[in-house]
Amino acid sequence: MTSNTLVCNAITLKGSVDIITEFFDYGINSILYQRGLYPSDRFIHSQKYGLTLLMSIDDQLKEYLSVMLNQMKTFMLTKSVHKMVLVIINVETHETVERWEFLIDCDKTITESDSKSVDHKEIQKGIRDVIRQITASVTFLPLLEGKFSFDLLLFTDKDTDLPSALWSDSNPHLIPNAEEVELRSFSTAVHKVNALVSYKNCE
Amino acid sequence: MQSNQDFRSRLPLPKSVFKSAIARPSLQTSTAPSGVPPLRTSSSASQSCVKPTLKVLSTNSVQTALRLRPHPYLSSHVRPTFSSRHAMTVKSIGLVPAVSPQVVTRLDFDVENNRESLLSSPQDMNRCLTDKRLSSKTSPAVDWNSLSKEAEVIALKTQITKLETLLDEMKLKNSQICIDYDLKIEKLTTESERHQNKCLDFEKQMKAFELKSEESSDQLLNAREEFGREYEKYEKRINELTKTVMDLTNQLSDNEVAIDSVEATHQSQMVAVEHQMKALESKVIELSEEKEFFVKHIQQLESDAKDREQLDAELKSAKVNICLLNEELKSYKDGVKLSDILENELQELRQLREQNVELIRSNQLLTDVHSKNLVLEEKLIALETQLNERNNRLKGVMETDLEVNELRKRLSEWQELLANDSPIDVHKHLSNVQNNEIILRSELASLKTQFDDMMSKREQLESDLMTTRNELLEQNESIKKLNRKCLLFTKEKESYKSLINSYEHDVTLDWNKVSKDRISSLEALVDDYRNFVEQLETEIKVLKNGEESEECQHRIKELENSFNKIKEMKEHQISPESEPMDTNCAPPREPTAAVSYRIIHFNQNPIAVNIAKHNEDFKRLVEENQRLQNRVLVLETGSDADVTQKCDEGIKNSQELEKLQKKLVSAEKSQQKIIDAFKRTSKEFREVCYRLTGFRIDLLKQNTYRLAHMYADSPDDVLMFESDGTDRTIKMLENQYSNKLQESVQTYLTAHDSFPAFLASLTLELFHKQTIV
Repeated sequence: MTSNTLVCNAITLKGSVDIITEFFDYGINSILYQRGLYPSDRFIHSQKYGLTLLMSIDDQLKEYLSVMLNQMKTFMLTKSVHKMVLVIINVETHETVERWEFLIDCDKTITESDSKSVDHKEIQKGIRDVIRQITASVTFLPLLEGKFSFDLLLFTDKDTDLPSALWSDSNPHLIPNAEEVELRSFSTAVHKVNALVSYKNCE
Repeated sequence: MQSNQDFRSRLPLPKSVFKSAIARPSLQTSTAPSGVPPLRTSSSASQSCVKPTLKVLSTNSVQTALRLRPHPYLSSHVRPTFSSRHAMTVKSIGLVPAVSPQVVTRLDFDVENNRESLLSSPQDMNRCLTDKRLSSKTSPAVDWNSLSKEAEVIALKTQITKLETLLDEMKLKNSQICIDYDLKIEKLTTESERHQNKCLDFEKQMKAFELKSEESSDQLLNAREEFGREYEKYEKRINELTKTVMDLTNQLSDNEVAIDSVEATHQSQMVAVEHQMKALESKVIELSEEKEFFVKHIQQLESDAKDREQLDAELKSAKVNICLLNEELKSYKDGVKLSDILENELQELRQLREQNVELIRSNQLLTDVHSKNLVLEEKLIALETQLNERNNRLKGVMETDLEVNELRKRLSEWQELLANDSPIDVHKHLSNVQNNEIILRSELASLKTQFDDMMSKREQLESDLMTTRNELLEQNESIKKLNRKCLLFTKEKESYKSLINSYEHDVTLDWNKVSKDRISSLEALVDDYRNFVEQLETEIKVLKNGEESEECQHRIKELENSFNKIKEMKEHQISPESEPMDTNCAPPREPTAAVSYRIIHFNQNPIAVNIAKHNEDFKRLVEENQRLQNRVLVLETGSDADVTQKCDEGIKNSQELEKLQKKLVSAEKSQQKIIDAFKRTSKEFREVCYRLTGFRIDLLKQNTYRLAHMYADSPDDVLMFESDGTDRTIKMLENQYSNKLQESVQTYLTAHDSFPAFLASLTLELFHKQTIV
């Protein structure tokens, strides 16, 4: 996957998609660990982007994330996905308390065979900064007390078909009177990812 | 000084000294550096004769002279030279103390020698005195006393200074010696303390050893006691054995006595039997043999006794040896025990020492470790504080980074917005925009005032409109009333005309024409009434909808349009205020494009799974709760049946009950809804029918209907009808009211069998009755 970019200092659409999905994998695991949605003993340390990141060993979670990321990859190759949102919802009250938005801007002109020159280290640095900000965001995000779980929403084009019968439409799970904090962004020259977290104002 | 005086009294000066002193009367006192004092005069005659005027020499010369003087014991007595003698005299008088004591002693000895020599020549002494007198008489006028005194003073002063220096030196030496002694004392005290501690330790050890010795002595005493006891035992045994030996000896003696007695008897027998010698020689031989046997036996017994004695002696010796061996054994055992104990104790001591050493080492290590730990803890605290500071700094840095990123984004956005424009251009543009804004605000204010005016005008117009409406309504109503009246009048007129015509025609009565005319007129009347009813209905609808006049509508539309325009202008003016003025604000985010996107998610997502689990848990808990409640109820009833089965049945029943209740409730609700809807529709239908036909039809019993007219005089004026469901035939039932309407019954029902005509005629009659009056 990443060998496309590492060897030639050039990146293709597929390589960019792989990098973005890998980032989402690590980013989502980091968010789940930082927000305490899963017990900390269900995470193991792994080195990536020059950081020590925590990845879940829960089989159900891993299976779910693999399904989501694979589908996201196909959507990104067809340039039909524009946003990926991780919503944290209270199990008892069904109330959305947090929304982690990842806006994906794709270069529409690029094709599968095209490649662009890019510095891989810059991409790594950008991803590292975003993940560090995700880790640091724990300081201002409110404490989640109670039973919470999450869901991943994909914002696709209107004319996009559902991949299978296991998929369905969903509402955006917006939070009224939410506090928003914009995080850093990074770019792979093909895709640009902007991160944003909005949370319920407890006051 | 007294000693010096005594010394002076003892010492006679030599002749040569006096000679030299006399020869040189004009001696002057030379001020020596040390200040040798001049000679002093004494009261005694010996001293006066001895005191010549001498040359006061310097101390150095005196010292050198003294040095040159040999030891009196080593060398023969030699008359000293002048200088040495002078030094001696000077010394004898008590001058020049800066001379070593050894030299002084030597001088004393020499002085004594000289004294002897001097005393041996009193003539010389007298000669000296006479010479002195002569000198004093013959010398010029010189204050020798003062000079001598001065010389003495100077010499004393020098002596004092010397003594002082000596004293200082001695003091220094003394102080040094004191310091050294103090140090030595301290050392000695420390050593003494050490020795004392050692002594204490040794005393402790001694005490311990004493204790041990006491213990060992106690043990020894115990051992001795045991030894004594065993000795006593053995003595007892020995005594017993001796007793047995005694007994044995007694037995032996007894045996011997017995043997003697036997011999005596034998002898008596022999004597008695001598007579029987011959006859009894054989017996004698036998007896001798027996005697020999007995002798042998005795010998054997003796040998046995000897053996016994030997054995006893051996026994004794053996016993003694045994005792000794036992004692040795005991001592060995004791020694072994003691050695074991002591070895154990020594080993324990060694172990204790080793443990002590180890403990000391470990203690030192622990103290080192503790100190290191303290240092490390301090470092840790410092590092933690540094870490906290750095974390805070990092947070601040991250926040600043966030701010910087935001600012950069804003800057980039601004740059994108501004493109190639310079800040001055932007400023100009902003100033222009501000000016435009001011203008727009003023326009807005004016428009607001206009709007307010328009609103007030609108309100006025609305009020006018309401009044006009009311007036219109009143007018319409009045018009309607008048029209009705007109119609009524016309109808009355026509009816009167018709009556007249009928009356006229009564003469020439043509029932067909009359009826036709009547019918046509009635039909026309009905049509008019229908049209009138329709008009009224339309007017009612219009009134309900609240149609306004065209002018008011137009005016209202204009006002609404202007109001909307003002609103748009206001919003448009407000929005530019926010954009350029506050450059620090973040640019407005694009609206969420949820409308333009399709939001999809995986059905088997964690939240759905968790919600399902939560619901299942909830249901399970509810079921369990119900089960437990039923169980409680069953247990409270106290039946002997199977509790669990009853509980399950109870749960099932309760669940079915709940379901049935829910169904019942839903069914009841739906039924109620249907009933309400039916009632509503039926009510509306009946109301409409009543209004249109004028008759209220009520179903009293099965197939019996009651009709009550709108214009009936009394509520009791009702008609009863009966229908046959199978044939669909309707019959009118007779009652008081129907009896009053016999004419119309006959004309319409009996003649023409038409219920509608009958009912219509009835309505007309009643209407006429109501209106005409």
